[in-house]
Amino acid sequence: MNLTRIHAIFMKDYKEFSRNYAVSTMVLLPLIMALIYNQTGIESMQGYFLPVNPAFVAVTSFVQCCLIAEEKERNTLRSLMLSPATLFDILLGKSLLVFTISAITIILSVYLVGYNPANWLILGMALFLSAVFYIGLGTLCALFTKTILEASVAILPIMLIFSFGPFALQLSGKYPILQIAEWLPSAQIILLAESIEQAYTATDIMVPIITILVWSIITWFFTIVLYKKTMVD
Amino acid sequence: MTSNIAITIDSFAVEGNVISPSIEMQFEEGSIIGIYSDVAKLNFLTKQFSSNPLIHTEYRDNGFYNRLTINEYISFLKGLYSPSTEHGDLLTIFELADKKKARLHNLSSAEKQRLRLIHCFMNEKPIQVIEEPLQNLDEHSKRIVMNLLLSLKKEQKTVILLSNNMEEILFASDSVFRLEASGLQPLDVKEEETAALEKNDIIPFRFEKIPTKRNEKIILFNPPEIDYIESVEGQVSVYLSGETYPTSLTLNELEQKLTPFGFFRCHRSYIVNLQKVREIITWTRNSYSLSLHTSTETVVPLSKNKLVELKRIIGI
Repeated sequence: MNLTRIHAIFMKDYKEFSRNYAVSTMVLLPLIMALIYNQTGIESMQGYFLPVNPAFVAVTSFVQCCLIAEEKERNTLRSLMLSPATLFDILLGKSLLVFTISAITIILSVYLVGYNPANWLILGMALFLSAVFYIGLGTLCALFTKTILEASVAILPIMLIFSFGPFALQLSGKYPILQIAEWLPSAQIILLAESIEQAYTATDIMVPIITILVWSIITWFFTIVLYKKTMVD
Repeated sequence: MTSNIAITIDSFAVEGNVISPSIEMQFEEGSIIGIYSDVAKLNFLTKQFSSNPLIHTEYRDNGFYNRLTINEYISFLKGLYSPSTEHGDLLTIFELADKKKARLHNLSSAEKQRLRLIHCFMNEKPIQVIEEPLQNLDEHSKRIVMNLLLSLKKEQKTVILLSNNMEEILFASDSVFRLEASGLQPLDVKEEETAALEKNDIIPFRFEKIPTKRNEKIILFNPPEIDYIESVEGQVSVYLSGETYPTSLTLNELEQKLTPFGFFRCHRSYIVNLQKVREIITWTRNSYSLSLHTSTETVVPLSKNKLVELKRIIGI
């Protein structure tokens, strides 16, 4: 781990990202959604998270996936791997940038949708862990994509499962199997947000946070193992 | 002080056919070595080189971050490699100083190919392997690349050029090897040894035409028709308006026959028809080429020690 290298990769990716309008305009999507939902009025907690959960996929996972896929597309990943920078430096440099972009986007969309959580600290922690999970998901996704085009296709099933998964809960009365969607990180964060608005116990807080934490650990574990395996040769 | 670096590469075979033999190489520090072979062997070789921790490999298809400017790209590489030595103004020796604010995707392909070599200046590894550094370059860019290679050499780095174009590596490198199924062969040492022996031979009768063989036919050429003659691995070929005709004569026999017709041994493995030479190209102080005026644009290497002789013949 070398801070100069991580900083160099961060700055390089920032410039690449800000000049690649096909990817960077994605940050507008949750912001516009937030504005629209704010105008139409929101009555449930599910509604406040309507722009937040897609933001995690469309911005966090998608940008991370695109940054890596584009390096593959242009054959720059190989020279990056042959440079003194380790895989860890490369992924951390990129992840830090994606984390910064997501943090700004999500704070802005929470503000724009008019959501004012009772406890910023607990929600912030859950949002942070979710960001870590979605960055890992994007990195994992990039392993199977070689171009930006492929990345935009690969992101669709992830969008379906993770952003719109919480809606499946509403059908769970009819199809009990859909109850499983409750354990998605996007559903757990809504449960957490609902409980902090009322009188809550420690379990109400710990269960969602630990669930998201477990998701992040599993994702990153697989990502790192698979990267080590494919990048060596 | 020069010291040697040794590298061993295991052989590589597909279904019993040896694609590349096992190689042991001894490289002097601060020299430019050319390796000539076919694409399959070179691909294998670069793969082997890139896994060696002492070697930096610069692939021919390495990409760029197209949205960065040259300045941003260089500062990114500086952060990435954190080089301990300052290289002064790299942009000046790359002759890209007037383009430092240009985005990389706006550069011409020759400029991109030049910029590729910047990796070799940034990293600290003692051996730099560069794949096809001169491919498809115009003369001006070739000269810049040659200067870049010499500045790498000055930094005591060993530069290995891989190419499947013999002419390009002949003028760019100090010593040239040929990678064959039998191993890594130094080029043309044998030819030079026999040159001394055969010097005093007297040929009583001069048959002026040059016999060549093609498609089981023996074709005789008048010497003035010939553009140049090349010897590759002992096989001598006559080049004539873009066509190749193998001949059984050795380069030394041909030299003796053809000198009266205004032919000149410009390189250990080349004889050129001086009547067809249009230009003497100076790449650097030590490497030269002859550009021929023929139906196709041809360039023939000219060794440094032959230049004096050539100048005497031309009268400059």
